[in-house]
Formats: sequence, structure tokens, C-alpha cells
Amino acid sequence: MIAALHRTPPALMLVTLAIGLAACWSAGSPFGILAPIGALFLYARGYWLLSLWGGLLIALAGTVLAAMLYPGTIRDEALSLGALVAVAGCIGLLLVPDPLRRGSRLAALHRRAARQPDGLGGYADRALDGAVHPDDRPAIAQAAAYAFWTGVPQVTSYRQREPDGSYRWTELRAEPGYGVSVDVDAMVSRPCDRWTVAESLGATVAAVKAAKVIESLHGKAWAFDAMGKFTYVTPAAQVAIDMALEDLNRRLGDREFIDGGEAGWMRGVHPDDVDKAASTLRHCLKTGEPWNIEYRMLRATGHYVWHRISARPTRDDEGRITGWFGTSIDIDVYKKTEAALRAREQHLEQLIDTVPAMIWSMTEKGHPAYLNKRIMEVTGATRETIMAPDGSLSLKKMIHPNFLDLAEQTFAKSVATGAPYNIKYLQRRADGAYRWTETRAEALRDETGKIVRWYGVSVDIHDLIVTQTELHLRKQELTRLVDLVPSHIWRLTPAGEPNFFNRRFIDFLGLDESDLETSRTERYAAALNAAIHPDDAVRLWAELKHCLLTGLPFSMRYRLRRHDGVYRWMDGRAEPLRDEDGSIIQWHGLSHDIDDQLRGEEALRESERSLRQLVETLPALIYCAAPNGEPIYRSEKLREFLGFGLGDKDEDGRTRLAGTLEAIIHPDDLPDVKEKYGLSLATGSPYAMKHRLRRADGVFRWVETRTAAMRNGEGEIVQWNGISFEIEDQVRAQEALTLTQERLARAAQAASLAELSASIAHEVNQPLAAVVANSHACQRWLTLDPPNLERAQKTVERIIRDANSAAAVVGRVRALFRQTVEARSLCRLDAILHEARDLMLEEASRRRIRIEIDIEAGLPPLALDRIQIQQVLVNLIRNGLEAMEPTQHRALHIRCARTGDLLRTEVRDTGVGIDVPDKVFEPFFSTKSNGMGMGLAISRTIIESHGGRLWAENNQPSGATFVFTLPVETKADHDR
Amino acid sequence: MSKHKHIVAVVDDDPRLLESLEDLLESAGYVVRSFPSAVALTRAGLAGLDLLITDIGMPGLDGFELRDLVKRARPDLPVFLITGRHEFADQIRARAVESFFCKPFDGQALLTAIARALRP
Repeated sequence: MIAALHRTPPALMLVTLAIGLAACWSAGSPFGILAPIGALFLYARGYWLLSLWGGLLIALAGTVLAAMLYPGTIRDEALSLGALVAVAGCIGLLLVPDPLRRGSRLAALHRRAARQPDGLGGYADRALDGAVHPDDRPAIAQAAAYAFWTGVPQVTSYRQREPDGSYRWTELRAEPGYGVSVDVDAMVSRPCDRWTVAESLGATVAAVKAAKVIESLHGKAWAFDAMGKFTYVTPAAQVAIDMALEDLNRRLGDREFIDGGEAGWMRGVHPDDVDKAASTLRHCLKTGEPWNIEYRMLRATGHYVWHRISARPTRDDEGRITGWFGTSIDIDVYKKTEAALRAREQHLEQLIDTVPAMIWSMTEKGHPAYLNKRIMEVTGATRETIMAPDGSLSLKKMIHPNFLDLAEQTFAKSVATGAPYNIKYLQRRADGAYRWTETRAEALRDETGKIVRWYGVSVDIHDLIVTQTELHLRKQELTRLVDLVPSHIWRLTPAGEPNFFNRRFIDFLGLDESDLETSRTERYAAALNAAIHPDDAVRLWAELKHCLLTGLPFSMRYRLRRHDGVYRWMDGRAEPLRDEDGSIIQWHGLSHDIDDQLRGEEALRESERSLRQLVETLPALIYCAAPNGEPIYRSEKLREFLGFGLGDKDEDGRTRLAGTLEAIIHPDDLPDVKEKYGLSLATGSPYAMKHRLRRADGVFRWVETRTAAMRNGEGEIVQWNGISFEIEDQVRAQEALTLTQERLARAAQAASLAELSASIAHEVNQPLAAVVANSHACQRWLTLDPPNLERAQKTVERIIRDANSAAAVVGRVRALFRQTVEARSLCRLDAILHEARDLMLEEASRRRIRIEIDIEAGLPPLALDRIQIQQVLVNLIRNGLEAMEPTQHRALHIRCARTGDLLRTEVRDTGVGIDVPDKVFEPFFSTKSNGMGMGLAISRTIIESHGGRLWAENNQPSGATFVFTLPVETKADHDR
Repeated sequence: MSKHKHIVAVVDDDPRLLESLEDLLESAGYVVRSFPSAVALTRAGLAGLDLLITDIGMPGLDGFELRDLVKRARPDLPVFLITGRHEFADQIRARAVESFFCKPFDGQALLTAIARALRP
């Protein structure tokens, strides 16, 4: 009932008030009022409590003042009331609870600000209200209950809802509070209770007292003596480990525990921990050092639970150890949490190290703090290599020089502003290579928003970048290619809507790409519609529609209007692109501008037509043959001439060539033609031949046939082209000409004989005329009266001289024609030269020309025809004199010298020179009106008959030199 | 025959014939002036000459040209042509030129022709 009253303060108040009033009324004393005041003190809080206290103080002050001011009865009454107020105050002091000492308390420690509970009410209920995450409620309730019933402190984590609705992890700590009341004596009074009492506390009374104090505070404590023998253990603890004192102290061997023996409590210690526990305890027992250790203890439930054990010695006045007291705290949750944390940390570390990323962290100032294993392996960097001497970040060894500045600036900016850091750069790797890497970092901030750490991750994006770059290049290249292709490339949707034109096509159509209001497809379709030639449009759309429906490739020629309004012929083709199912994804099309080609073809056809006409109309017989000579073409004129076409002479067993040749070539010419044509075919050399060709009427006509090979770029013969000219008339004319020439030659022969005879006659007639005239003169001198004998005599001498001269001419002519050497005798050339000079001296002086002779001394005599050589010299001298007639430099030089085995004689004039030096030696060549042109011819014959040579040269600046040589050794000739 | 001796000029490029004609004419009592070429004659002049005998085939001016030249200056001067070339002779005969002699010519006939030409 009392408990029920405790739970309902108003009821209690009413009860105590009723009792107090009853006491006052029955006793006639106000003391009864203490009961309700006590109740008020019990339950009043805050304002009510303060008011109560204030009332009591005012009442006390009032009674004191009354006692001091009023003597007698009032004073006694005031003192009596003051005593009542003082007693009430004492009761209040005793009853007002200290929160720390009252029952179980739960305190929540928050990360940011601990929430202080206020007002009346149960804390556990508060902790378990809606602010706790529903999942954590059972756990926290269980921990609180456990703490309450066992007194074992509990540490639990749970998620608590914040005002903003988010949850935060919060740690809940629950520990018991006890009132201290130690009554050691009472413990000895119940020897039957095996859980509580030692037979004798002995010297450990102080230790047991201390243990009891601890037990009152902590719920669990124990004491043992200086030898380690338990004298007290909190009964609940004994129950928990299911070991009574005697079990704990039981000796398990012969030896005392302190001497290394085993005690019963050791069995409750985890085998892995027992040795350490025992040895440390022995050590402490001996030294008196405090015993602090953690080990696992076996609970009655059969589980080992981690405990932290602390023991301290008690000493007597002389400092000897009288016993030990201690306690153990269940730290199993700590241990497990710690292990879990460690495991999680390890896991996290492994995770960080195995994540395929390079992870690092920096201090808030940007100084390197941590590098994961991977970043160190990959880049070869360590915290030291990326740290400048002042501790700041140095990226020099990690980043490509090209990116260093950018990276450092970006990083510095991020550190300064706290903005996330993100950069792509070339990172230097352990092997010295650079690879594209992306590094991102973000700042971790504390509650106040201050940066505490930078966490970063670097990811190798080299392959990505390379692929992207490659892809970009490929795309660019493809685009360029598509635009470069000298054709129009386009793409249609399966429905036939154009959705791509290449650059060339756009330019061709003159599309305005800046128009962005209408969709590309609409623009393209409109442009295409407008550009197609009206005459082709119907045909084209029908064909395209057909192809779109059937999926058949599109191919068509049509006209398309260029941006400048000119229609151009196009060759358009399109094929569908199908997916794996075979359905059409899109159509790819290609349009070729074939306008030039078509025009070219037209021009070519025109040119071919005109060429053919040319060939057909040329007044010549034209044919073509294959590389092996087989006829493949004959012009109209040739077909007309032969009277048959290409295939008309084909016969079995013979080639067309052989058949044709035998049919058309004159039998006399056939072998030659076959041989020459065969040679040309074999060697590729041009063929040219004159032969007779059979005309359609059977008449053979002379033709000249020429054939040459036509070769391709590699030089191979692709065709033989031939032409035949009719040369019948030419051949006839040539024959006539030849006849005429022959006649002429005969006539010329006759004429030259006549000329020669006339010449000889003249040569002979001159002296003969002189002889005859002299004879008449002589006769007259003799027939004078008196006869002039002197003149007659002189005249006769002349007659003899001239007659001899005539005879000599005749003899020379004979010698010339007989080519005799009879007249040769050894004579000196210089003498002959002087004679000839003397002969011509008169004529030279008449012409006022000097004759200069230069003869080398000691020339050998030669076997010569004196007269002939003299004639040659006279001839040359006369020629020279006559040549100089019209000129000013009047001197004729004759030079004679020996050159090796030859005597060389030169007659040099300063005349007009000779036009054709060799021609002058031909018979009947003369530049003189009265010359007969025999002189030089005869002279040359004479010199050559002497084994020498005679030729003419022109002088510089003018004139000509006639040179003849005579061999010094002419013995052989002489003998002959 | 008068005491005055007739002067006869002879032109021939052959010194032997010149010599022989000079001999023949002197033997007939003429004064002879010999010239190796037509040019030599024209240079000497025609004054005093009574008759001219010239070869046809000569370098420079030939006989025909000399005769034509002389005929312009002295139309009265008798000119005798002589030649060794019989082809010329045929042409001259065809032209019916009388005062013409072929080599070798008859000295007596020449002298007779000269005398006839110089007859007053």
C-alpha cells in the first residue's frame, strides 16, 4: 500500500494532510503539520519546492523576530512555532532527494551536445521514447534492464533521431549507483550461507570492508588475504560464475597458490589467460603492487566473458599487507566492440588497399597524410617523396611537367577555398611511364564546417583517355573522310526521311546550316524535294518508295539541282543497314556526280564517231590487227578496194591473217611480205613495205603499207594499226623517171665525150695554129727578096717548139687515158716548180700578181712524170691567178715541204675561195665562162696516179689552198 | 702597095699564137701590135689601128664582146675573129660572119683577107 501511495503523490499528500490535521486537533499542537510538509518535500520540485523553502524561511524568520520582540507567552509560542519550522526544514533537508543518489540513472552522451534530462519522470522511458531508432530500441531496453537488475555497467550504441529527422549514433552508458552501508559483522553471522561467508575474515577485515564499500558502489567486489585466499566475494558474483568461496579457494595441488600452486578460481579463467592471471597475481601478492589485468572468466552460462580486474592491498599500521580488495568489471562488450572495430578497421584497410584505386589523404593544410598501398605500388611514391621539406605537397615526382603547374594551382585553390578537387593529368608511374589519371578529392569537415582532412582518389583513366582520344580521332577522321569523299553521302530513316547529309552534299545543295528552327530532317527533305529535277521526281520517289517497302537496294540516275541552279546528273545508290533480326535500321546512300562523266562519255562517243568518220573518209586503206596480226578492222575504203570484209576469207585450218595475205598480196611479193610482217609481229618493230595488192576487180595495184604497234602504258602491244597508200601512179612515174635518167646519163656521156674531144682539139689546135701561122710566116720570110733568113730561122725554131708542144699535149692525153707511168723519171720537184712558175710568170705579171715560192732545202728527187706534174702545177697556178682577179691582195704563195714520207705542196691564193671544195674536182665542173672544167679533174687523176692526193681547202679570211702530196718512196710505183 | 704600113692589132691569150701571128703579119709587111687580152687593147686605145684580129675564147672580155666594143668606137675598123673551138665556128658560120678563121687557119688565106679588107 505504501508503494501504491508512493506512486500516486496527490493521494499521499491527502493522506498525510489528513493525518497531520488529525494529530494537530487531537494533540492541540501544530506538530501534526510536519506530515504533509514532509510529503510536500518528497514530491515537490522546482517552483513548488522553492516556494516551500521560502515559506519555511519566512516562517522561521517571523518566529525568531517575534521571540526577540515579544516577551512572555508570545515568546514561548513563537519559539515553539520556530522549532516546528526548523524541524520541518530538517525534514525537508533529509527528504529532498539528491538526483545522483536516487535509483538507476541513464545518461545519454551525445556527440555534439548532451541532452540534459529535466523535470520528473523515468529516464529510461525517455531514452526509449520515439527519438531512438526503432531497430535499436530492444537492444537498448535490454541493456538498461540488464544494468538495472545485475548492476553491471552497460555501454550500448543506438541511433537517435535529431530534430531534423536524421539519425545519429549515440552511446548509451548505464551504471549502477548504490548507497553505502557496510556491516561486516553481520556477514559472519550466517555461516550456513555458502555464497556469502568465509569461516574467518582474519586479517582481511579491512580488505572486506573496503570490498563492501566497492560493492555498494559498484555492485560487485571481493577480498582475499595476503596469500590470495578469498575471504569475501559478492554473492551475486559467486552465483554468476557458479563458484562459492570454497570452490574459489580450493587447492588443486599440494602447493600453496603463492608458491605456484593452483587454486580453484583459476578454473574459471580462460585457459589462454590463466597463466598470466596467476603469475601477475603472485607477483602482486609478493610486491604489494596493485593488480590490474584483463581476462576471460567462465560464467555459469558456460560462456567466457571478458573482465577487467583491479585489486589493491590493505595494510596495517606497520605497513604489512593484511589483505586485498578488488572488483571486476564486465568489459566483454568493450572487448567485443574493440575486436569488431579492429576487424572493421582491418577490413577497411584491406578494402582501401584492394580497391583498384589510388587513395590518399591530406591534412587540412594540404600536407600529405596517407597513401594507400596501391598508390605507392603504382606510382612508386611514398609519403616522403611527395612531401616537400616543409611538409607541404610536392607533385613534381608524380605529375608530368606539362600538368604540374595546373595541378598545383588547382590543388592550392581547392585547399584555399575548400572546393572539391578534380583534375585529369599524366601521372608518372613506378616504371617511369606516364599514364592518364583522374584525381578527385573532397574535404572532410567537422561540425563547425572546418576542414579536418582531404580525402582523394586517383583512378587510372589512361585506357579510357586513350580510347576516347582514339575514338575522337577516329570520329574526326571518319567525319573528314565522309566529307572528303568526292561523293554525296546520305542516310535515311527506315521511313525514308533523310537525317544525314555529308558536307559535300550540303554544300552542293547550298543548305543553310544555321537555320535551327526546323528540324534537320525536315530541312533535308525539303531541300531534296526542291533539288530533284521535275522530270525525274516521279520516277525517283516511286523507286525509292519501292525500295523502302521491299528492302531492295536503290540504284538510279537522276538530275539534282546544284545551289547555283544548275542541274547535274547523279548516280544514286542506297542500301539498307539491318540489325541482327534483319529489320532495317537505316538506309545508307551514296550519290555520285556523274554529270562530267556523262558529258565526257558523250564527248568521247562524239570524238569516236568523228574519228571513225575520219578514218573511213581518209583517202587511204586503213586496217587494224590484233597483237598476233589477226585483222580486226578494215576501213570502208579498204573493204571497197578488196571487195570483201573481215571474215570473208576465213577458212578452216588457216588463220584469217594467212588467208587474207594469200588472197590479196601479189604472189611475187608474198614471201617478202610474210617475212617482214612476221618479223614485225615478233619484234614489235614498225613494218613498211611496197608491194602489189589485189583489187576487187583482180588487178594488182602497187601500194605502200606501213604498220606500227600501239602500246599501252606498260609498253605491251595492244593493237597494230596499218595504212596502205596506193602508189601505182607514183611507181609508174618513178619508172618513167628512171628511164629518163638513164637516157640523160647516156646523153651526158656522149656530151662529155664531145666536150672532151673539143677540149683536146683546142689544146692541140693552139700549138697547131701557131705552127701553121709560123710556117706561112717562114715561107714568106724565105720568099722575100732578099729572103730574111734570120727571121725565117727564128720562125722555124718556133715551129719546132710549137709542134713539139702539140705532140706533148697529144702524148699527155694518151698518158692520161692510158694511165701509163712510162714518162716517169727521177726529178726534183723544186725544178719542176720553178719551170711551171716561169711558164706562168708572164701571165702573173700581166695580172700584177706576185708568185712567191718557198721550197724547203734538200728535198729528195722523186720518180715523176715531169710533164704531168708541170701541167698540174700550171693548172693550179692559173686557177689561183684567175681566182684572184677581182681581189686586192695579189700574191700567190707556193710552198713545198717534206712531212714525214710525203712532199707536201700548197698553192695558196687570196681569191674568193671555193663554194664546194670537193666538187671542183669533178669533171666538167667550171666556174669560168670559158673553162671546160677538166683541169682539176685531170690534175687529181695525175696526182693520184703518182700515189699522192690532191684536195682543196678554203683559207681564212679568204681564198683557197690547193694541196697535193707526193710520196717520197715511190720505188714500187716506179718499178711497176 | 703604098709606103704607109698598115697597123694590125692582134689579141690572143696564147703567147705562142700571138707570136706566130705577129711573125706572119710582119712577114707580109704589116706593123703588128700584140695584146694578150682585150683589156690590154682597150687600155692602149684604138687610135691608128687599121685592123683588129682577136681570139674569141679569152678570159675577161671575149672576142665577140671586144668586137662589139670596137664596132661602137670604130665602126669602120675591120675585125677578124679567130678561134680554136669548132663549136663556136659552127655558130659563127651560121651567122654568116665572113671575117672569121678557125685554128689552125691558112696563113695565106688570112693575109689575103686582110689585104682585101685594107684595100681602099
